[in-house]
Amino acid sequence: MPTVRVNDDEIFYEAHGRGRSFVFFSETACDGEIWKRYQVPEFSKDHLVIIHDYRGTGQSSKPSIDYTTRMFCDDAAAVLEELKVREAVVLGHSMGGRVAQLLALEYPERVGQLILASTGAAFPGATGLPLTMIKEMIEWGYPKYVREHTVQVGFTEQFVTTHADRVDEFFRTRLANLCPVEFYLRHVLARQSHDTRDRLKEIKVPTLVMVGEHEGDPNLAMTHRASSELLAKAIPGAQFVVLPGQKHNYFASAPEAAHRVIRDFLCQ
Amino acid sequence: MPKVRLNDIEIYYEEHGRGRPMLFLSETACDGEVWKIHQVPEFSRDHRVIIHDYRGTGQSSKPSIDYTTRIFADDVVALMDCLDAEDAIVVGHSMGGRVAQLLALDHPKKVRKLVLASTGAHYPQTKGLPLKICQEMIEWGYEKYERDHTILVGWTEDYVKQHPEKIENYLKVRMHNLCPVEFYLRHLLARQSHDTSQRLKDIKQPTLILVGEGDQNMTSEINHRMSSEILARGIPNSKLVVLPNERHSYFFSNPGKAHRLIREFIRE
Repeated sequence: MPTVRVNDDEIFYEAHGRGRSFVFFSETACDGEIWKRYQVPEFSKDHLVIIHDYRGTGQSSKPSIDYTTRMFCDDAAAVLEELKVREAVVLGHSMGGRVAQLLALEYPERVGQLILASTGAAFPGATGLPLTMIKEMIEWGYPKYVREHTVQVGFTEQFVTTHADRVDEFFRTRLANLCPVEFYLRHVLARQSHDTRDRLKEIKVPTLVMVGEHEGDPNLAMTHRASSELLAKAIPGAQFVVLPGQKHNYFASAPEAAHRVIRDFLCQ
Repeated sequence: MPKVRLNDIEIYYEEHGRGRPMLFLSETACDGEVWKIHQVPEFSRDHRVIIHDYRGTGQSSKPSIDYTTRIFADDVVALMDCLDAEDAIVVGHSMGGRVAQLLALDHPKKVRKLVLASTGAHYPQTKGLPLKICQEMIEWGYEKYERDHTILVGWTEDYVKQHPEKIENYLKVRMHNLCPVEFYLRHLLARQSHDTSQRLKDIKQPTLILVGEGDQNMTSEINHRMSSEILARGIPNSKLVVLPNERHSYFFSNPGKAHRLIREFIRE
């Protein structure tokens, strides 16, 4: 089992393929498995694809301490160090995009190109556990919340109707190894307190910002559409691509379209 | 049904007995009913006892807005004005003690004497929804959490073993009209963000501080024993009494003792 020790903790990772290193960071409290359905097969054809489980998720250690995106960033840097990766393409989805921003800021030599997918720099004024989220988790139960919430923000109603099998397949992976609720909450706290607003101008690597056309979750203090536009404006030279007809989880609902956008960016 | 209209909401209240007004304020997200088990019968013999349901609980309105202990205090002031109660002996338990402090500070004429039972001035670190509470509410369900948590913090293991019928009797009242979880969470947020720690020296009323010897559950960074001692040090004209062998809910496990202490304090 490939793991790297970070102080007292073990971080689980996998590397697939050969070529330029390409790192994928998952969304809130989601381990690295999620990338193995579409992204690992596609990009391992010509890249060394690196996925890992955040602390608190999957097969990595789950210490009961406060988590921050900075801690996730340092854990990921330790994985890159272990694999002797000098420079990589770094893609972060949702909370993973916050970790990716920090990697580009704190370890700029490691990040050759940056892809920020449906993410943001901060949740201004909403740093604690969000009331609506906690209420729904209590009322619905934890696994049902993750499923219902992900369906609601992740996929259009049309996709859910016409591709029920694809949605089910996604949740088989997503819910198979759901982390204990304590660590889901610790991830949410890390996400909500992340704030790189004042540092975006220091991100100097070529950056692609992508977001689904219909990403406007009214339960979030700031929608991914709005926060992605802020990122694209604030990061010097960033490209901004809106994926038509998509919501938050286009890596599962429209992988071909997402991969095309990414490959176009990598070729530049 | 006695209700007063305050701005656009209704606050449910009850009055019992005649004499010098006495106002009882309940713990987090708890309506006024619990005082009818022991305190209303005892003190209505020679006092005009006023109880009410906080907004978000019992038969009062439940607007979906942010709550603060200041708003709860303003509701109480408006209620006292409606009832022509010029001033009162104010007994606040737990979160009710936080509301009582604000009454004493911002409406000093309304408070003749102050009883702060198992309460505190602030939570120094946890301003948002506490992770441990959220985790337990999600894992156990709301009703089971409220039940188990109330028992755990409320009484010693010995008492629970020896008096199961008294516990059930209390829980029957407490759980009968449990507010929707949204408002429990709104009360928690109000409680966690309350902070009178810099204003305690301005509380001029004679103040009795009560706390159970074993009221030391660490739900967040400070327990009621510690916070009661902070109150006693900060409030000039105050006296701290520690009730031996009691935890958080001695008003229901040892009302005789609590009533005796309060009556002595009123007489002084």
